Amino acid sequence: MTMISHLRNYQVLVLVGAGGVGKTTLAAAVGLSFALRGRKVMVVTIDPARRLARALGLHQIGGHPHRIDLDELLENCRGTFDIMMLDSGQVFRSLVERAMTSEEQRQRILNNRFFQRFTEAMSGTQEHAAIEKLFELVAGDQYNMIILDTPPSRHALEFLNSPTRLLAVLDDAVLRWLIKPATSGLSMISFGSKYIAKVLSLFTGTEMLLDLTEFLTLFSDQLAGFRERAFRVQQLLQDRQTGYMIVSSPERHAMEGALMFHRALKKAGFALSCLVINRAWRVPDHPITGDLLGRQLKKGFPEVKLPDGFSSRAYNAYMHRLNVARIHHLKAQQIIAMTNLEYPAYIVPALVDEIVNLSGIYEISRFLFREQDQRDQVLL
Amino acid sequence: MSKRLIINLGKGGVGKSVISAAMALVSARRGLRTLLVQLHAKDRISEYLETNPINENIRELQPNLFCVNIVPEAAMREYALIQVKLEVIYKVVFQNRVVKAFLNAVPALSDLVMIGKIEFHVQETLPSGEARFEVIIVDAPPTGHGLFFLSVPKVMADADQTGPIKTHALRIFELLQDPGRCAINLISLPEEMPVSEVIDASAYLEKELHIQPAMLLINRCSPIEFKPEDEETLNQMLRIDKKPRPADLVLQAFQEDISRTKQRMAHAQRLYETLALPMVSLPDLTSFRFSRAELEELAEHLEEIL
Repeated sequence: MTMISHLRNYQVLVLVGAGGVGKTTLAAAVGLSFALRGRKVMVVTIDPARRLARALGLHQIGGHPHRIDLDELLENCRGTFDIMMLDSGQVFRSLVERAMTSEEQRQRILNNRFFQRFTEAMSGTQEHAAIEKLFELVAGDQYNMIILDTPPSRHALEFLNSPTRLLAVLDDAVLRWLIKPATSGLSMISFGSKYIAKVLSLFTGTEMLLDLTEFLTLFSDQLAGFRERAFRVQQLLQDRQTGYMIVSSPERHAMEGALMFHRALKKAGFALSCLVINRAWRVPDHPITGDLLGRQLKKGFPEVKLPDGFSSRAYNAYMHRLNVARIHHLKAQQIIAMTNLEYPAYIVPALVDEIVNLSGIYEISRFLFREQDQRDQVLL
Repeated sequence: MSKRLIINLGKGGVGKSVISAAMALVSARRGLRTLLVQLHAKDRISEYLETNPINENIRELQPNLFCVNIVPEAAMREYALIQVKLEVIYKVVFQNRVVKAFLNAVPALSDLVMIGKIEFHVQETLPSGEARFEVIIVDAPPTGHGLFFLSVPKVMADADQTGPIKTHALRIFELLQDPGRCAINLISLPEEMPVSEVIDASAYLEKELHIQPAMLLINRCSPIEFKPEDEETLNQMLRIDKKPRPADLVLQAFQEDISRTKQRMAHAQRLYETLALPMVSLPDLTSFRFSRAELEELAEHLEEIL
């Protein structure tokens, strides 16, 4: 089965994987494929390479959907293809603004240093923002295929836990015991922990404790709402119609990342849809020696004057390419085997030229319609 | 290599760990006591060096080559003990559940204690008065987090609060800014995204932290050799209808590889022209399993350059 027919039953696809494996390009190609098949597609991307962004018309500011004209590829296409770049700051601010009931509260939270550093520490809040946006889009009901390109996470779990992470800090009963939101000054620290607080403030300074107190106070009324929302987001992530695509390249750091996602997603009980090994080099493998090439070049192209050493440069280039292609093939087999063959695996070859327009994306899309599940190819 | 502290920064997957390990090998072989630091990372370096796993305890792997993988919990304990002096108090206070929860909630504290530990080793001396480590090489986290990591001392130093953290943060920030003691290298591949990331990182270092990066290292430069006249020859040959097999496959591949190589050279060029820093190219050592042999090859290259 090809990737596109395999994925057709999902409503939401989440692409995960290490940085630099081509997730954004692949998200766009999967989106384009389904749009050409008549689906209403939205691709949410995080931080596309500049040329890719230009190729997709994403050079404007983020946060708004952009519709891509499919006429040049298919006349009278029933599907639509929207793509947007995530503006994580905007998503997070609006989340906080929704939660705060008064303007004064809003200002206080946005000015709270603990909140500022907290948001910074959440890896730019991109994971959180991406998932919030996804939730919004699903609720909006305008699309029947939503594809989410995720930021490269240091830890798979950071991404998967992001709906509950803010909640965890707000809801930490232990923390609430230490700092009872009430008055100002150190008096808010409950009697039993005064000594501990004293030593701690030696360590961090008292302002840090005060900032944390304010942060917790401001959010204390919102806990129920946050809990409800986090629960619903979690449900969406675990829905059977939400599929996860693990994207890797045939390179070590990417494969390690893929394996980490495989384990984390399985453990969390999410629906793993497929593994993609992207950017694998390919070359027709044909036995040849330097001598044979030299003879063929002389005989086969009598009218062409060969520069000095041309034959050996061409031969070395081919052998190098062949060597890398073989290594990539072996590595692809290796990662497929390591994921236990539990879900389909596809190999997408590397294109020679960088993608600078929609046709480049279309070229990849054609592979997605053509390449077959690779699990049968794995030697056990 | 004359700097005390060398920090290697770059996008994930560009080869920071490998290059850091190769640099450390070169430095140790020159007779300098060298500490190679990983930061709470999946330990790759022990595999490249073909040695036992590296943990949070400093270990001498071979003469003059010391390794450590700094983890926040251990660094926090060391740091706290410096502040509160007594192990007993540390146990009462810091191993308290409440306090643990609090420290986990203080953002960036774990980054600060890790960079604090690095600074400690820069200052550290042997009983003889000599520096314990003459060179410290840090395999930094991937760019985004790496920059956050490097900016934590400044953020903490700027905060209008008092206390030991601020004093310490200021001292670390001064170390990072001192070109006589610290060199921050930017590592990239000749590809669009890593190049853009390095350009942005360099701008951030200069504007926000007032740090001038020391050197650019472009990893995995293409091993394809070609001459300008090859392209025209290929065009002529590929235009011919009937080509002998397998020569046609070779010519096709050669043409594609030249095209790819030129794109990669253009990315390296863009980086060089934008940043105008000393630049070093490293070879592409694609292999099925990167091991000590490949590491030695890379070290040989660095030996000539550094």
